[in-house]
Amino acid sequence: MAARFRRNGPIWWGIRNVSFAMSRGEGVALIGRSGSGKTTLLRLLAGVYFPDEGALSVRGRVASLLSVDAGLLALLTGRENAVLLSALSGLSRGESRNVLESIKERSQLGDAFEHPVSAYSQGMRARLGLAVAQEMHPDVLLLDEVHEALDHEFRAVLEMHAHSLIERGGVVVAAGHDHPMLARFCSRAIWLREGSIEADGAFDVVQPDYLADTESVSA
Amino acid sequence: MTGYDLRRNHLHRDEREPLVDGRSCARVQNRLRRLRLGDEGHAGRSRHHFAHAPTRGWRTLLLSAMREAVADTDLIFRRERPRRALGSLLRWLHVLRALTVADLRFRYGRGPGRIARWLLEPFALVGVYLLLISFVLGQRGNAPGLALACAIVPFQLVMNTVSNAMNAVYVRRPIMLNMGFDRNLIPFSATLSESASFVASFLIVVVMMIAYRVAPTLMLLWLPLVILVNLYLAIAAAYAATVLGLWLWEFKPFLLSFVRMLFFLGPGLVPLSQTDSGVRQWLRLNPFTGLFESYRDVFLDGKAPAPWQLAYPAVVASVLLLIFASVYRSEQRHFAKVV
Repeated sequence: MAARFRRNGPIWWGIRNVSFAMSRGEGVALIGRSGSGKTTLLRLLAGVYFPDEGALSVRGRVASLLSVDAGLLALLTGRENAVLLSALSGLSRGESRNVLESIKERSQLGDAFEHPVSAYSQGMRARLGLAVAQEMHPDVLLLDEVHEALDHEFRAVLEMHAHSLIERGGVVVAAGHDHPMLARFCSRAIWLREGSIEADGAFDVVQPDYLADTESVSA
Repeated sequence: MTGYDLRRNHLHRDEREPLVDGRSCARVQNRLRRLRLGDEGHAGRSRHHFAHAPTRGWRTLLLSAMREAVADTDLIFRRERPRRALGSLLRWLHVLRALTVADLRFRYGRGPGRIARWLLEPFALVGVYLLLISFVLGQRGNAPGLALACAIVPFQLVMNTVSNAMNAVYVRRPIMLNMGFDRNLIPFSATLSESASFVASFLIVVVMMIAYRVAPTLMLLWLPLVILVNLYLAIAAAYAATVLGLWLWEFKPFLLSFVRMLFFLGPGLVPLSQTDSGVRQWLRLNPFTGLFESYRDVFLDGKAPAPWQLAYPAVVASVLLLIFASVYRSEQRHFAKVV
């Protein structure tokens, strides 16, 4: 699988020659330096990007928190964004209506739920995005550092949700630099370097290798 | 591995899974989906089928499903396909509706004033041109205000759709970078959003008919067909505008000016019969000419539109769609890379 980007100049590959499989009930951490291809890979899994080479197969309902905006439109209220995201995520009109109050409760936004998202902090947006993702009951949950904007309480909620999803046979794929947090629900790590897989294995094996590598580079 | 279909966000059936054979596979998978079974029997494949554990063993259920599938040859397959198609259509419509409602919120806000704004906005533009032709240019003739409204109403639909579609991808950037969804809906959503204003603008036509004492006739029965052609042209323009708005974003003002120019290079301000006879045949090359004249025939003159007046804009729209829909389909893969 590969994804390339067109720029004014030579084409560069976001990721290339990346092959992997993820089974049910796995938590996978994507680790690597900035620009190593973590976000590109997550966007491919989410359907934001399409592979330019190779093939990709993901089955089941996918929920993703990939951008700082968490997919929210600033001029819409929290409620309106929840309706829109629910529809885009595959919920029917009736299902979208039914989950609105639950989303409001999970996000703990209170009155802010009825206000435009432009007034929200990063953490509030992340909470709303997470609440929508939870209500979708996804099979695959993709996280790209958005969870690092959450406060301690919601990080615990996220970890609980991730564990529950994994126990139910879903898959969680999370990228980030907060490795202790990732370690709490990811048993596997894929280390990306310059768009390719450097290592793929147990988290407590790959992550120390990555840290050692970054320390040796900075030294 | 094949079968990449994240955008649908529902349990995906890979009809090439070698269970029995192609058709039996589809039937078994349909049955399995109804029984909500997982696929633990296929080790080594990377799938994320969500399984709710039934009360009976999964092997028993799988065997029972296969037996029923084999016995019940075509019935399951034929029953499931229309149901799936209907389900997909309903989902598509629901997503289209959600995108359009979000767009309308941007445009009209959410307070009580939004209805007033929706109703009054079309009058603003017609009022300017009405003053121009009635007082500045001193045009007389048969109900000039109504003739003008019959041009502005269809033109504004296409013009506003083009303007909306050019920004449609950028406006949806946060969603586009967060999740996959059917991006073919974007031009349709832009057209549908502007249709709200289009519907409201018919109020101008009614007001003008009352003001000029023009009685409605049975030729109004042609109106649905005229509106259909108008919408078709708007959707075709939306596909072109979405692509060009991304490719040629620096030239957006020029592209909008080009579309605006088509109003004036046609019988926009005055009916075709009042234009110079020397240029009349050239004005017919403008796809808006037929549309404007069709609306005037139906509302003002009480006669059926000539065939070319509807056929020509429809052909132009078809050509636009043929070119830009296929370009759009290939380029939409890259939208998230360029916003």
